[in-house]
Amino acid sequence: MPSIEKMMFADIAGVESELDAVLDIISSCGCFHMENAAAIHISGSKNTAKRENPYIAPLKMLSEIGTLTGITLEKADASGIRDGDAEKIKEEIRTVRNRVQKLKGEVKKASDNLNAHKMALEQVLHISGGEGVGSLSVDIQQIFACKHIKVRFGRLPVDSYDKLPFYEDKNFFFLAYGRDKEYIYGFCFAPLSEAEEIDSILDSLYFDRIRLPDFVHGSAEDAAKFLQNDVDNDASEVEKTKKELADYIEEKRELLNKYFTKLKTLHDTFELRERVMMIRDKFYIVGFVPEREAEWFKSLFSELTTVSLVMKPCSEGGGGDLETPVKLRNNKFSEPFSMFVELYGLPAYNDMNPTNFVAITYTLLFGIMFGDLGQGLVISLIGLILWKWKKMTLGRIMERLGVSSMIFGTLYGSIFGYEELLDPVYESMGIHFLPFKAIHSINNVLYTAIGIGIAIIIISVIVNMVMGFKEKNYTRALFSNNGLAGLVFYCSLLMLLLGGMLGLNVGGPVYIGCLIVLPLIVMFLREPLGELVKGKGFKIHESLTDFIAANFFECFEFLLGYATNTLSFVRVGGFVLSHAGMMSVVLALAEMSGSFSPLVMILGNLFVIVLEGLLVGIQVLRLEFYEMFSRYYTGGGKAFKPVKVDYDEIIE
Amino acid sequence: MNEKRSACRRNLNATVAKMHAVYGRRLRQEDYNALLSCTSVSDAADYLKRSTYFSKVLENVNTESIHRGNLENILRRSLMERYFQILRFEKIAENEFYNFIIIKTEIDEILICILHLNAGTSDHINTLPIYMNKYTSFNLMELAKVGSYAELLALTEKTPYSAILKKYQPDEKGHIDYPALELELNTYYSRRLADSLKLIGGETEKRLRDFIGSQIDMKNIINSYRMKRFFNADAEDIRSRMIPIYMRISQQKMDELYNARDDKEFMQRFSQTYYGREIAAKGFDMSDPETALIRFRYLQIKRAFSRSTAAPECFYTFIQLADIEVKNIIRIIEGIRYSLPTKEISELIIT
Repeated sequence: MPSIEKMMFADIAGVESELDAVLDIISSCGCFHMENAAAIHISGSKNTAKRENPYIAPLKMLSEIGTLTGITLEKADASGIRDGDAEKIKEEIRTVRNRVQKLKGEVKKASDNLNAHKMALEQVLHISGGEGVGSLSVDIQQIFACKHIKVRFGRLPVDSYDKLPFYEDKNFFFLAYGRDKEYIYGFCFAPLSEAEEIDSILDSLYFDRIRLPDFVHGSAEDAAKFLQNDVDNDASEVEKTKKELADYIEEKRELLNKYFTKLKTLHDTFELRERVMMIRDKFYIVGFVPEREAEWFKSLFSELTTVSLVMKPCSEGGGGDLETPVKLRNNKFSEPFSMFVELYGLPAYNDMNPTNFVAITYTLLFGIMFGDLGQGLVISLIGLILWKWKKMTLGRIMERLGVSSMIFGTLYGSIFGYEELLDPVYESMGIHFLPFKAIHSINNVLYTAIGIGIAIIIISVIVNMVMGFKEKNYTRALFSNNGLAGLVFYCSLLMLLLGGMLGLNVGGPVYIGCLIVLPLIVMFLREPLGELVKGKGFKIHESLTDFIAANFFECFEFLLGYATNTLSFVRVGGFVLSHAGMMSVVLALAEMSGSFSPLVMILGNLFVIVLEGLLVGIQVLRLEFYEMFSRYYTGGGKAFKPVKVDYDEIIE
Repeated sequence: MNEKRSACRRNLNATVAKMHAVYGRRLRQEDYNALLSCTSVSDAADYLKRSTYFSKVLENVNTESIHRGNLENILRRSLMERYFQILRFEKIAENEFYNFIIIKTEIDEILICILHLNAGTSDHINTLPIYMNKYTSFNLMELAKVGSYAELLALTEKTPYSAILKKYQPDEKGHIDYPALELELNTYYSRRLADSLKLIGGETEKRLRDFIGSQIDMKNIINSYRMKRFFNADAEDIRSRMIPIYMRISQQKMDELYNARDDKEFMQRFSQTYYGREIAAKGFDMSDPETALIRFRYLQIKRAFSRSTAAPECFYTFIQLADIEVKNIIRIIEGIRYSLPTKEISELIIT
């Protein structure tokens, strides 16, 4: 029976000089769930061992290098680097960072030059009429050589251009020669004496001034040639500096990854000090270790002479008031289904691990509701791909569900919607009628679905009773709606109904009185009866009126619950029928589409797999959570999280 | 009227779907985080151009050399472009209700003009939304040139604002009572908006009336809180500066707030009102009541937008959300420009 991993509480103490060695063991062993020692060790002068983490600064530098160069630092083999090398590493990282900054600066400078020249070229092309509306055949340098007129060359945002009439009384004019969606390009001419004021107006209009290099002279065409040459040179300079940076970082990449791995290990280990308590020069660390790994864990400390490690099983009170973390222990089949259990909430340490029950019922119900030999195979294959390729746990679940679907598909005689394809095989085996062939046996399917539901509800109640006895919670085990009283009531009522349907003589005043009314009264009085069993007497904690009112409605809800939960399983049969129905539509469409029939069959099957697969998956999960978990499972456990270094986290 | 009303009640599902599609491209928290981490205006402009739906409006912009003011203008203009794009989608602009942005723009520009007249400055032109000129009832370029109150009256003579402006002639020192004029113009806007709601009718009208009324309530609460906290203004002074429209908080309750001795008593009384209880229930930090109210107001707008399928309600809330988004970006850009600490800028962002 898969269960919950047994835990040992570990209490580690030692002198401060060996703290780093202990933390190193803890962060690398992978089996220690660390708690805050202050929660256990009470002292007047307690302090944590937290100090300023010295590894943050070099990690930030590494992160800066990553940002500047676009590389992602990854975990690498850093076994050759000793702890004592930290200072040397810091210096080396600083050198690399400075070099990267310098190269990045060179790239930026070259890019800026390129942009400036590109922009100037763009303007000159506008002037020459290459891309703009007009053409200026004067020498550009002559324009700028005017003695009494200040000339500005650049572009105005379209909105600002529309605002120029506002300044019609000012002594300047803007000669536009081209435009695009956002800007109007042109020269601005102003008297030298008013240049300052005009510049300020242009600034307020967000005039983007473009400075032409000194060597630009001659006509616009000539200037364009000069600038094109410059742009080409700049582009090759940009490429050259970028390559230099890329080559340098590629050369250092392996080393940087090693340094990152080492520093991140040291950083995360150092962060553990926050949960370490110091009393004078002694440190205290507490946490949990799985019982199976306890001996090995203990052996890791054998060489540390001042360190004492005391371990006590949690079942014997180890850990005191600390909540014991939970690690589920599942077999290979049920393991992926723990995803659903964790989604709902982990069980408490002393509770039961429901993963196996979920795995069996989920697989079974999915197979029943989505039984098709061919489509089941497709689901399994998709699951296999998702698991192997994307490492998705859902893929592993799909593998199992697909197999279940194939088994039930064989029982129904259904392959990709063809309900008759397996008939010859069965006939050759001497079987002439399949009792669960959906289309022909609607009543059989629906009755069986309710039967499965009843069985699952009864099993859930029994599991709840077992858990109640284990916890010595007799209200839960004996008197609740999911305890013995509920079980007797539910089974007796079912027998009564079944007897009525089959015309059997079940019932009578004694039967009804003892097996139906009495359990109902017990459920009504479950809380005071629970107190009575504990030896605290028959006690009602609230006023009698409140007690009667509250329990009347609760009992009414229990009765409704039995009915609705049982009928809820009709959906199992409903989906068996809907699958057959949907596939018959696909077959009819395929028949109508003549030569496209294979294509319609493939698309139809894919549609049904996706839509119905998703619906059935959700419906079964609903049955698990609502009809089953609500009867025996509470969740609320704390997950076992062993200390480990997180290499995906970047310190910025 | 009936014709107008039936035009207003057209099936505008395509417009609603379009607005939801456009809203789907909004900036997310990670976008704001990325913008906050930018160290220069060009970096921020570059991020907007590369990674957000603003890439289209910034397509021809050189982010390396862009001026902060120009970037802000482009963003504001893009908001208006979105507004007109949706109006054009199913030609709904003929309905008075959908013109609220134009009226708001006209009022805002008149108020800016009055501020300049009072201050004796003339740089109104810089922030003028010249792209709205073809929609406004007076010439915006002429408004920028206005040098006296008489010129303003002449310019706006044939507009509905004329009657209001005439009431606020400058005093002997040439000073115009700005706060009173602002209140009256804003009240006029709110009433005109409320009147236009009659064209919508039905449940949508009711919901929009309630929603717009609540927005006015919250605006009044925020403004009166500021007056109480920073100027310790008396009840009469506060009352005279608030829009006299009440929705989920009665006039009597508002009077109680105005009558509070100080901002602490104001907050204590506020906590007993509908908004106070709602804000507390949502878990907003009441130690900064102004931010809590602004965030609550944003939440209301977001909810109204996401749950509504009626075009007028969607349109009104969509424009508000788009406006908040543009204002958020502008706050970040200004914060970067003036080297404010990231934490301080992020506190100004409404998400």
